[in-house]
Amino acid sequence: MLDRRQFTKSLIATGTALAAGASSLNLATAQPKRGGRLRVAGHVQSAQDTLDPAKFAQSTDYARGHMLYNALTRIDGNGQAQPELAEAFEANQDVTEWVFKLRKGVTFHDGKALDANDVIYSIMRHKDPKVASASKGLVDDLVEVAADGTDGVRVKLKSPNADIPVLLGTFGFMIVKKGTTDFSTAIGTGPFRLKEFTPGVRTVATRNDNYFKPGKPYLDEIEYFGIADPVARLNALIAGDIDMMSDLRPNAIEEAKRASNVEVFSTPCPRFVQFAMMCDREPTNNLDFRLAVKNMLDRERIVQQVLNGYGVVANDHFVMPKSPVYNSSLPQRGVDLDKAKFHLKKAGMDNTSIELHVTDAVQNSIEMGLLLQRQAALAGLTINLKREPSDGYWSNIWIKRPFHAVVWNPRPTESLMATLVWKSDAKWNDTQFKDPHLDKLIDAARGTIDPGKRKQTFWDIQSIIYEQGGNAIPAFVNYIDAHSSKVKGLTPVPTGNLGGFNFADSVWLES
Amino acid sequence: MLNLIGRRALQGLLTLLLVSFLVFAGTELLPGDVAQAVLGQHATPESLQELRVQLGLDRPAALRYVSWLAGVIHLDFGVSLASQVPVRTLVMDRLGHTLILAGLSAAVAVPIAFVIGLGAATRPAGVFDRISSIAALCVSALPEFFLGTLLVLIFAVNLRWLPAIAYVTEFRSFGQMVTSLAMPVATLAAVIISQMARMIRATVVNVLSLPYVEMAVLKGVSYRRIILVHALRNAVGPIANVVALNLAYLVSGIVVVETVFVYPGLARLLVDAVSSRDFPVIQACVLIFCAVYIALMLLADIAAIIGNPRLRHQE
Amino acid sequence: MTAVKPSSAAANRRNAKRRTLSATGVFAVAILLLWVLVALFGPFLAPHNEADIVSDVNFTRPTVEYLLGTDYIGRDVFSRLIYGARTTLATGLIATLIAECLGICLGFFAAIRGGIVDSVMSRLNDALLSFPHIMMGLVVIAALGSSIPVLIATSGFVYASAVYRIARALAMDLREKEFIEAARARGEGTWWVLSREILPNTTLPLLTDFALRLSFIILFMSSLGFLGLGVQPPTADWGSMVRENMEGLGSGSLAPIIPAAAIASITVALNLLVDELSRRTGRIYGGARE
Repeated sequence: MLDRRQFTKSLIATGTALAAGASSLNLATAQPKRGGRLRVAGHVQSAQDTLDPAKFAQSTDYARGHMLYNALTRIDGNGQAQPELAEAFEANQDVTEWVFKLRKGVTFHDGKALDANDVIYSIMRHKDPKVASASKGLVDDLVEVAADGTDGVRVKLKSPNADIPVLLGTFGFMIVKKGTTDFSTAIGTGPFRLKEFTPGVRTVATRNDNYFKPGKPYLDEIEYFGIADPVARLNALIAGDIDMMSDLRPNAIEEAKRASNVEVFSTPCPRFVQFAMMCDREPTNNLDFRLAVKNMLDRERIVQQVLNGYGVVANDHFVMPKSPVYNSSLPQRGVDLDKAKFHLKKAGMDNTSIELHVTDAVQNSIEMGLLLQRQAALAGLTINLKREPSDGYWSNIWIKRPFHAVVWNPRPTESLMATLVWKSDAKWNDTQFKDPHLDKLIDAARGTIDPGKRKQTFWDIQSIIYEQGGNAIPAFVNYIDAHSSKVKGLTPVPTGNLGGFNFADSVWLES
Repeated sequence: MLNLIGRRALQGLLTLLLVSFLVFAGTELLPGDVAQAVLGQHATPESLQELRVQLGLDRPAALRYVSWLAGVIHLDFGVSLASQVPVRTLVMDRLGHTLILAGLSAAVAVPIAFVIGLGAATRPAGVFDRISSIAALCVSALPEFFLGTLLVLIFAVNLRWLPAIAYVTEFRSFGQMVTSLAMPVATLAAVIISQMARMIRATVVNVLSLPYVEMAVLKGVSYRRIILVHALRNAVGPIANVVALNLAYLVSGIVVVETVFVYPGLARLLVDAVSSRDFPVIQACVLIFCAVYIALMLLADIAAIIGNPRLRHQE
Repeated sequence: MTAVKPSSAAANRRNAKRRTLSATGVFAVAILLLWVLVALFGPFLAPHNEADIVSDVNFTRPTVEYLLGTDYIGRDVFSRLIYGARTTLATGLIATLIAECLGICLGFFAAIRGGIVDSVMSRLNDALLSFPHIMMGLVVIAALGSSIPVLIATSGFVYASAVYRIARALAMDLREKEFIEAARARGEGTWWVLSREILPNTTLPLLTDFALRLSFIILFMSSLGFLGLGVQPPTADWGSMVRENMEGLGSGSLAPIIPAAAIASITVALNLLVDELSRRTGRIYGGARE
């Protein structure tokens, strides 16, 4: 996972310059230019496009949201929360209460000034069952959000949580005006105002001259639309019909690099693809079977051949090697067919067959499945790949079939990731691996501030998942995008493509 | 003839009703629903249930169908379940795009098909016949996504003459429309020319061998006149039919071309609506496609009747 | 799809040419034969298995070891082309057989029974025919999952409605003929009339329709492959091969080009064969890709 945010209890007082986060790196080399129109093609083309943050569920929504709205915080290149609509935030002693101090002088697109009521409404509406929010699972921990003085909000929690500022910087928590139920005009505080929105077709937004960051945004207009076909997307970029695109396929990287007017934009991140082996049903509930699969994966080859080198070998848990809490004592698993055969035999499953569900909805899972299939055949296990349609995969296959592919997009912190996927009662516990000891460790990690203790807790978490868990995790998969060499000011943020989809107010065009 | 048109129109309405029922039954059989599609990986049982109630999905299927049907009678196609936009707005926009693309493709393909077909028919098994029909066949025999992408690589990526995507929401000028649509039109035309041309050729060749045409030749009527006036007139029925079939394809069957060229047409909307289980949008799209098909078939019949007086007096 | 009856004079004239096969006809048959042989025996000769990942490098140029280079995940394109011939032809043929059988049976049945049965069936068929085929395919496959049997059954079912129209029209023509009426007058049953009189007299036109339909179905299946619905990996079929290797097209890899050419060769050969057969039957065949 990302470098853990250095936890600090002092008020973080900052100006707007800091809000740009890591992009200062680019600013140093060239002076941003005002003006121009940016055409961006996302990789999702969906009729479910929405302007309601509570319904944001896919990348097109995230990118659109960041054009039109702001959240209290902004997640930077290290996955840390930086001030955005909140100019500062602090927690109480036991991290059960957070106070966010709102920035003054921020106005919505219709001229109304931002105040605490807007923030309270924007967060609390996720708890309202009538809103049917996609982020509902994330707010269960929030007991109350109330005004704190004239320009602050106080967030009260059920249990200690050091990750609240980061959580409130994620896509669902963009700030809307109090009482908004019709989002068709998308009145936010964001760098751009909505000009045109057609679901499944495009979003056009024009510069918000009253944006609270001086001098920003640089662009006059952004047009965002989806090109679902990856080949068409890259061709459009090379031909100069678009300036920026998300999700470049690993196999097309060489072609993109050959084009003189195109730059590949890669974001190393803890996004991982896993083969989930569900621990509550036959036949994947057999630990020996799971260990056999974990010893079949040719991780090196998956990174080199499937990801074209744009990824990192994983060790069947979710922590990246560069993370300070990475458990370096666990031996890196590779292909060990003798071990795999041994475990298969012990499980009584040598010379049997099993279905593995893969889909285009999980990046590269088909290719990874093909590689696993070949290795499994050598160890005496027949894997029948079932390629499932993308639509309906999350409702029909995920957490339903014993052996299936899943992609996990990075969460800002390791403890958030562990809570979402590995707690016994987590809705997204897709392996249904349930271990009270692991639950205790995850809860402890979330409330622990002491770096030494945190590290030990995370080491234990990793080793349990590594030894017993239902996850065969071959690799961490970079976000790979591409843009015209005219596009400047884009900086990697490991929570998503194209700078965590938060590019609107920092990108500029070189003439 | 009016009688025939009236009867066919009535039949058409009946077919539409049948289609709407079949589509409804079909979408009911699909696993998952629009609530799951909207909330995706983030769905929780409570939020799913709430969304279902809000969208009226908790009502029995038959009731939903009947209330939808009642709306349609008042020309109200409802609201998209996935995006909450009125279906009419969504569909009309896309329909306009589809008609432009289909119209241009037809305007290019039909004349070329006639030239190839008639040219080949004047000298069956001649050089022009052989070359043109084989060439047309070869091009139409490639999968559309391959042909389309090949054109993009040549004309957009390498030569930089044309834009790689036809994606437009409004055309600012005629020239811009032509350059944007040149490649999708070429792809679609390539796909349909061959079948039309071979039909034209075969029908005309057939008519030319009829006794009365031979009589006309003997009387010294020019060959060109024979083909254009006599042969074509008698061949109009089958030709109209195959042209109509291909035009129907241009409207409804071109989701692959719309995907490759990122063209916001109706077929793509339908495919997206199927994947998000957005029933009102699916219904509206399918009804339009079905109506277009029926109307085109009717037009072909009328053309056949006008062209062939003998049919006019039947029944 | 349309079939036009020619005048008897024209048909008579053509009867003279019946026994000869034109050069294009020979060409078409040769291509088809070649692919059938490849489909039958090729896999025994293929240098690699269709599923084997033989190279660390994706999209390599042709070499002695990999005659057509490697595909997007390092498999041998030549071997997959050979295996793909079997899958593509087998799925296409079976689907076409299903479409023809279903369409012919129902079409003949409707024509012979006539009256209200015919009206109801034909209306229902019109409704099915007016659906965009690709959408029917998407819905069925989304409901039942993507597997070879589902793919075949879907394509067969989707195309049956077009066959129904042809078959019914053919049978309607014959119904009026004297020998049928005579058989009816003799008190022969529907089944007897169907199998002894109508079917033999419509064999050649239906065979022609079969060839044309097969070419449409192969293209239809490749379109489904493009939309992500096709045979399951690692099975090779030409349509999926083109799709999964499209990323190599920009760099000139043969991996997407060769299977596309293979599809084209089959389609062209089938259409040439249709032309040849039309000359013999005196019926004209055409239609639209759907």
